[in-house]
Amino acid sequence: MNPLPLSRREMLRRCSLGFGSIAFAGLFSENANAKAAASQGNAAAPIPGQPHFTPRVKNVIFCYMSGGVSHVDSFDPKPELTRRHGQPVPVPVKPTMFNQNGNLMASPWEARPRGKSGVMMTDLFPKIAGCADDLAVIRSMTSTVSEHAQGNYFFHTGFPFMGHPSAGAWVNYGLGSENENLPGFVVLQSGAAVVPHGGLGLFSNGFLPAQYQASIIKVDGKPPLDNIQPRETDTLQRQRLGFIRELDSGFAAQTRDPSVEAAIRNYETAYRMQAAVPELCDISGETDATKNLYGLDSPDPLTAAYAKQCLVARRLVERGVRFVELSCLSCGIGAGNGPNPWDQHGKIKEGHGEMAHQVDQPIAGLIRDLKSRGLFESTLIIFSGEFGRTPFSQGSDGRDHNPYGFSLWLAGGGVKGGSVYGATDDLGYYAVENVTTVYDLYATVLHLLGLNHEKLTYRYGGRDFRLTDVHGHVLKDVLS
Amino acid sequence: MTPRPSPIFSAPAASIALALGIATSASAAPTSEQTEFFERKIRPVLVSECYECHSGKKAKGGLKLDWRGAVEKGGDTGPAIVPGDAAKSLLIQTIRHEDADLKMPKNGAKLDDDVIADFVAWVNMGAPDPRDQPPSEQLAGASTWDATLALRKEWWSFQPRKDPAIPTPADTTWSDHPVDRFLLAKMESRGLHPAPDADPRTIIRRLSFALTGLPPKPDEIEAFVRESIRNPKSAEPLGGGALRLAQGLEPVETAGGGQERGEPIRNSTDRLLASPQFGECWARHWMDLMRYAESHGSEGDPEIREAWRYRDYLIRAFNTDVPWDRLIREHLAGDLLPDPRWNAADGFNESILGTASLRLNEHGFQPVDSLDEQVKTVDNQIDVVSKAFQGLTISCARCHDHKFDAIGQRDFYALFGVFASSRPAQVMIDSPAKLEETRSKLTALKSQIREALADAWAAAAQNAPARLRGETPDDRESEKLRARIAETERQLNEIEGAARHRLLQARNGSSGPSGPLQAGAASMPTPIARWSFKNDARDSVGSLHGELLGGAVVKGGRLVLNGADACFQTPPLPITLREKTLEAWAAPENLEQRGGGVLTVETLNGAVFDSIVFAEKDARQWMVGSNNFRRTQSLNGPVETDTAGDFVHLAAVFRADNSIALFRNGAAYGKPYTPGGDDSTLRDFTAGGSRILMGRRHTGGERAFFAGQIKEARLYDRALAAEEIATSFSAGPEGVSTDDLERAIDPGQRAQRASLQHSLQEMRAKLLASPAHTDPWKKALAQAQKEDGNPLRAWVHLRGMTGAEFADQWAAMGKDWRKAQEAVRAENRAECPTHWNLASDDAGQWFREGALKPESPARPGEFSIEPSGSRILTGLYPGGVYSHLLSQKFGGLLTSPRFKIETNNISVRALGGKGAMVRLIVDNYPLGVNPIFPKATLEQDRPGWIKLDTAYRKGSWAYLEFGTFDDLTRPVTAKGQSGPEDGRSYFGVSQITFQNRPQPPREEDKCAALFFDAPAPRNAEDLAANYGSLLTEAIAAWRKDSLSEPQRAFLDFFVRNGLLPSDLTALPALQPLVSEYRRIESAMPPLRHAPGVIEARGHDAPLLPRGDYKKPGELIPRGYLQALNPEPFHTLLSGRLELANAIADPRNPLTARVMVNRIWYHLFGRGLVPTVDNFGRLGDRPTNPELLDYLADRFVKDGWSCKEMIRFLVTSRAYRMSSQGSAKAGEVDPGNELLSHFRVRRLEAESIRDSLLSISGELSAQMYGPPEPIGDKGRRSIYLAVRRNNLSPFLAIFDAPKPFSTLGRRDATNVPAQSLALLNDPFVIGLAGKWANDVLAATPGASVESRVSRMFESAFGRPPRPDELVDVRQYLDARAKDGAPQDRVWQDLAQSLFNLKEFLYLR
Repeated sequence: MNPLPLSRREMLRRCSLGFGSIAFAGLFSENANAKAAASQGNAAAPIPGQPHFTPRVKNVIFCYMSGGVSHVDSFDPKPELTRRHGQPVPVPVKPTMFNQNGNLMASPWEARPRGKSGVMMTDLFPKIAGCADDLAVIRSMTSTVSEHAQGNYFFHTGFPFMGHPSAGAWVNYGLGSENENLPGFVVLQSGAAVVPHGGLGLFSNGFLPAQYQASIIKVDGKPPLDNIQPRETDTLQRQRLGFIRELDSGFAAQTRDPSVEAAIRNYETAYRMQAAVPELCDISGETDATKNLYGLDSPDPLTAAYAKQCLVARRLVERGVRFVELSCLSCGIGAGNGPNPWDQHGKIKEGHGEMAHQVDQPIAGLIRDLKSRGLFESTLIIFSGEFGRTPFSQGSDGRDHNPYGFSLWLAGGGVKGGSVYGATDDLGYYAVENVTTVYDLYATVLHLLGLNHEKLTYRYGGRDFRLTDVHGHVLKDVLS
Repeated sequence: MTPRPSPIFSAPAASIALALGIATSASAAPTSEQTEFFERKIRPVLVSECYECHSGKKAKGGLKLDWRGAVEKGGDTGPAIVPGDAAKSLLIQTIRHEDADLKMPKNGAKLDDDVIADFVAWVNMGAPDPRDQPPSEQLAGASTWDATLALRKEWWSFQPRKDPAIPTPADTTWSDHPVDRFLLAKMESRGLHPAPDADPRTIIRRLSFALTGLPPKPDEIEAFVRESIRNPKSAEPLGGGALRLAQGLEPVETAGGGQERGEPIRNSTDRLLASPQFGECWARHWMDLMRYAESHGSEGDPEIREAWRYRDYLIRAFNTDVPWDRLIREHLAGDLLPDPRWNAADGFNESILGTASLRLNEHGFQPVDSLDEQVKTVDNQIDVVSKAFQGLTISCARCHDHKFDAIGQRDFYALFGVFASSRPAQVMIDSPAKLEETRSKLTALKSQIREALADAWAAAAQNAPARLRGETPDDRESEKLRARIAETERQLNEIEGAARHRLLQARNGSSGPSGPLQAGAASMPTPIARWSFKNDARDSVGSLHGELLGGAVVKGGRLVLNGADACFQTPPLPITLREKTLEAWAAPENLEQRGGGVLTVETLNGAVFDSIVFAEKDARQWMVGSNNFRRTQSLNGPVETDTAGDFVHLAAVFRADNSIALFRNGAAYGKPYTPGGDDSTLRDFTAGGSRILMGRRHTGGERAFFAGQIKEARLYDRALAAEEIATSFSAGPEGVSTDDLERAIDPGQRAQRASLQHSLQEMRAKLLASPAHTDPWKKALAQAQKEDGNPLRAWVHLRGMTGAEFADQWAAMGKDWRKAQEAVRAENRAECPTHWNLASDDAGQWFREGALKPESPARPGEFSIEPSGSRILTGLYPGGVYSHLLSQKFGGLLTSPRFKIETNNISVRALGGKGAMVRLIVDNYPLGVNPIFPKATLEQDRPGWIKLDTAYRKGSWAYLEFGTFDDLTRPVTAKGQSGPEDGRSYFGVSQITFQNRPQPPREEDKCAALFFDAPAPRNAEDLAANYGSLLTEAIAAWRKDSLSEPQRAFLDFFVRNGLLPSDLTALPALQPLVSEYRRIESAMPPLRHAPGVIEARGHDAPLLPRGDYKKPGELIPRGYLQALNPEPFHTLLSGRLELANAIADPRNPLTARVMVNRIWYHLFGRGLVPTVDNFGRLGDRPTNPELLDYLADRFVKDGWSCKEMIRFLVTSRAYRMSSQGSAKAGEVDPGNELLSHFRVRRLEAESIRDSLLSISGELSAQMYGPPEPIGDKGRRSIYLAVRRNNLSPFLAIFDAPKPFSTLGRRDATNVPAQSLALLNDPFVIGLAGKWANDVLAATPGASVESRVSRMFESAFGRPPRPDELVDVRQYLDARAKDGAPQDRVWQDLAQSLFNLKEFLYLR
């Protein structure tokens, strides 16, 4: 830092050459990071913005199935349930959320081997099942909580309450952004999709600096992002920004404070974001074939809405956005409301059927589109809810929450497609083989991104925190 | 100077090493000097820093360091040390952090340089090590922590405060102020000089924001500048008088004494500290530490009831400068202090409000694992308290001894017991003394009323035998009447039924009178009740004739409802309704109304209902309403637009498979759905226990009335098919109209029908007026014939008997009764043992809070005066605890001792109403509303058994809580509904049983003992006389409050059934007394409440090895940190008071340091300890430890006054320094740790928003009160709602904290969302417009310069410089040239000024 007072003109030159004329890469990446670390006295934190080793993937798309997909009806079919349909549960039943536990209930969906790998999956997601050879199914995932909000927090931050950084924030903190015009962590919504139970804290930067928090982009919203819509013409805004810059430069010269300089540069990025975000959501340039692949033409409005999220997710990945999370829409069946659309405590056949129809083609389309564009190998797709559902019924035709064993899948670069890891018992109640935790999942996700989960730390309140707390092992068996 | 870990380390290591000489081999027996060196310098560090991973069974990296042999052997990467060559020793390299991948201690702060030097010396002397044996297992474990603790206690922040002398810097002219002297001495030691004073405008802006969070007003700036110019002293250090002041002495009044008073900064400081805005600004700092929020987060984000009172408490506390130690005591134990502070203006307990801080937790949603939830909750409480007050992270020690600080795992569980022993509650904050006044007046009046009642009853009891014997002559008459009515109805129905049938048949075959039906349409369904409002509210199918209540009228063939109090109500249903369809043609009068019910079936108390409801959840939409929305979902059907006054057809179908569907105008409205969760299945609306309403959602519901008209309503006892509904819709409301019916009736029968209708009407009226219908004795005797255990049963059974028959029957009845009595008692004893009898001394084990008087339980026969109506009382209660014996406004909590749930069920014999509840509080979880948390709303006026199903929670620790509405942490009400607003709610409880069987205990027939234990009557005459004398005795006993329980039950029967007068119409003489009683009772305002905690018998918590609560270990006595307070707390209560005293103790080394450091941070932008929440090893060290101690000591000596400390600090010259540092400062001290110039800082989120409002003239001066919605555009930001799941986006963008734990130092991040908000947010743009308009209006015809000056002064506290004026002019001209109108041009300028960094930053 230059200790001598700068002239106003010199400051002006340093800050910017004029709006829209020059890109300042620093805002989302190294400058802001280093500064944040310095301002926190955070000597123990690693220099972020650099992977620890060669990454396998650059971006993550998190297809979050809020409410909890039934694993025994999808990726972990259980013939035993069909055989013992209607019989009492032969093992001790753990306390459930609603305590209306019925007998074992067979899946309404047929299971069959898929692809060359022959992984068993039901007919619930026929199109995703068509991509079976690209998926690494983990059938032994577990959670520690039975309720939505805490489960959502646990699955996003590794801790079952608010205040901790979301995985997307950690990833951006660890790697920095590749696109200074867009936030590095984006949550997409469309139609009536809302934030899952637990609220915006699920996408929070927690104690990390605020630039790592998610921005919620409504892909069909007008505007797609709060305050992104200029209220004046571009000419007027440039005029305004020029005026602001002119006067700011005097103040910056007087204070010579790096945070003031950064705040001035901030306007440059904000200005460009106003164009970048709407451009991102404008899919008029996509071909009909692409749109059809995702299901944007679907007569089911929920499918079409989710398809747009998937398509925009691809566009985000193309633009170097690190972490994208998609939001399901509620079909209003069986207690599955806006924040927890998959929550079929009743009518699982109807509810899961509609929900699966909503996401099946769009996600399968996303996989195919990424592959055809050569993006699949640099992208990781995660498909998971906050827990699975009980193999026994709740009431007559629903299933309660089951955190003791459930399924998720990964797909993309570095992932062993067509594989199965871990297993639940014959009933699909408890994970019994290679029991897996959220920490293992994120250790693996970070590993694929080139980050050592034990070294990605941030000192806060007298402790070095990690996304994986003090746990987590990289699931080597699901890696290719 | 770097603080050293221990005084014994004070000698320089190198000199000792020299004195000892250098050995060549570690294995040679060490000399005694070497041994001493090892024991003093090396072993303690090995023990505290290394043993955790490198001793006993632990050998990370294959390395052990717990004896010489292991050290020599080394680990996986080779020998740890090369004796004699420190530089080559791996151990030294790792502790020096030479290798980035191998830094020791692991994850810890680097060891002190002195300690490293000791190790270097030790290795260089050959690493002499007296430990020639591996330690025994036991020894290693036992001694390690104590040794570690002893060493860690040497950390600087655990040392007693010193009272350092004020240094004398070389430059004694800069300032005499002690703060300046401490700072300058440090600066000089590094060759630095303080920056020159800032200009007065900068200073006043800095000061104003720091003290009030608001910009200075232009006149305040001008006054300050004037004073500064007039008083040349202002630019110089404070004089000797100021130093005297600074030292706590009175200034000496001299001829020049005016200089002190004239100090502009002192004057402004006094003004700002005295302004109410000071508290609003500093309370918010404290709220950051207490993770302040008004909701608990998680699913549903339930509110923390009245949390805002705590926010207001903080504002008042800072404004009145409550001593800091006092505030700490109030936060932890405000409810337990012997001398609470009373709010003089409003008469409530201020101190108790501090404990709300313990309740601002996040909470999980209906946790399945409630113990896990409790561990999380207490962990957070400990985290907040330890960080906020002590700058320590004690919650780190939940799973293991702290890695770096003097905090053991036992310490965590010693505190755990304290917090887990404190129960979550809403606590009453009103003054008990004030209640006492009302209480004593009511008590006096009540005893007079009791006397008067006893007189009246005694008189009435005289007539009891006669009333028993008395035949009422018209008895037979009424019976005949009833029979005739039944017969007439039958005839009428026969005629009408046949006609209706014919009509419908005909219509189904062809086209009906309301237009052609579609081909293939289903047949018209047949309702079980139908109301057409032709002339009245009669049911034209069955007998569910309605009553018009409130302002309801039938007019022009319609039921007209006013939306305020009008409704239609039927008598109880004759049949039980399960599957059903509700159908109506209704026209809302306006489309903005919310929540009105069109057609409802409800239980008689309104607690359970299904209804067609307009716009309750979603504006202008229909929905199927139900109690607490249990069977309701938003349907997202079409909204009603421009249809006010038009009739729409609605049909709600409730099917056997639990699904529900709504139809509008014959078409599905939204999707059919099956509700999930609690009480979501199809309900039984029982015969006799349910009724139909129209125009009101349900009885007791708020916002329940429908404004509009109903033309036709029908009820079906089955779920209609969609086609049937379509058919019915197209058949129109007339369907089968009264006229149609009349036309369809065989002409020969028309006259007969009219006559039948006429006589029916007459007979009904006659019956209603007959004494048989109104006389309570008649009713009671009739009832007694049907009821066992009715006190009149013996009479009705025996009254007709004589002689031997009488004697035999009497004896037989007595025998039966005894047998039954014994059987009931034996069964109850065996299957439902009483756990607590609250009529007995057991009540003393329970804990009472709020306005519940801590006195012995009520005796049998206690009663409460009804707050309104003609009845004085409803009945006499059994012995027990009652909240409402004087008033339903005296609510509170009654909680049981803690117990482990070991039975499948708990039954309570209780009564209550108006939102009162009994709840089983499991593991202190305060928010249970779903079925896995046992609880019941008390909705009965007489004592009865209520069962709680506890099987799910077996094995958990819990307590029972009875609470009135305002005292519950989470009452159960329908969404969008509040509870009783007059503060009335009540409960009473007499007995609790723990049992496995589902049925509650059987009630005993208690009063029979009065008869059968007394001499047998010889005949009916005798028996009647017995009733009289028993009654007389009971009344006499009641007068003296010495009733036995059988007498109570007996007397209660007569009172409840009106056989003894308890109604003002019968007792006009009591009117004055009762009126006076009610006047006093209703004049009393509702009691006020706030979140808090309550005491019970404290319990110690078990240590949880590795934090695993499923494996509890030994119990740890409640207490504080061993390092500070080794004695456990000696108390039967939680220990919060002891904890408060330990923390607020002036000898506590941390408390005052932590707080003065926080104050320093807020004023200077960086703490003397920069990590303001962490004074432990992972925190930063103080940059000026002597100054920190000086300030802490001064703070304590000044009576822990925050205002004094602030005044002291801002009157230093350091506070007036310019923010421009010298070139040398940039080189020598780039982080400005020595504060040689002021720090530039961005404003906090609240200040940004408040400044926008203030400058644009929109800021409201209103203080205090319930939170404003986050979209508010006028109140200060501190008053905006803080809902965890819905935080203000504007404030969040500017780093307002997320409320989850202590946050003493906010981020000031830089994200585009900030620029975007200031550029594009309509809120900002609107305020810019407001500001511009104000400026234009206030300066008509003024020059651009003067207007711009005015705006610069408001926004930045200074006039524009000439070059800035040029820029502004250019901007304005360019905008004007574009053709923008003048106000728009100025608005643009205003908004641009909002975007300037000078607006957002302080320098």
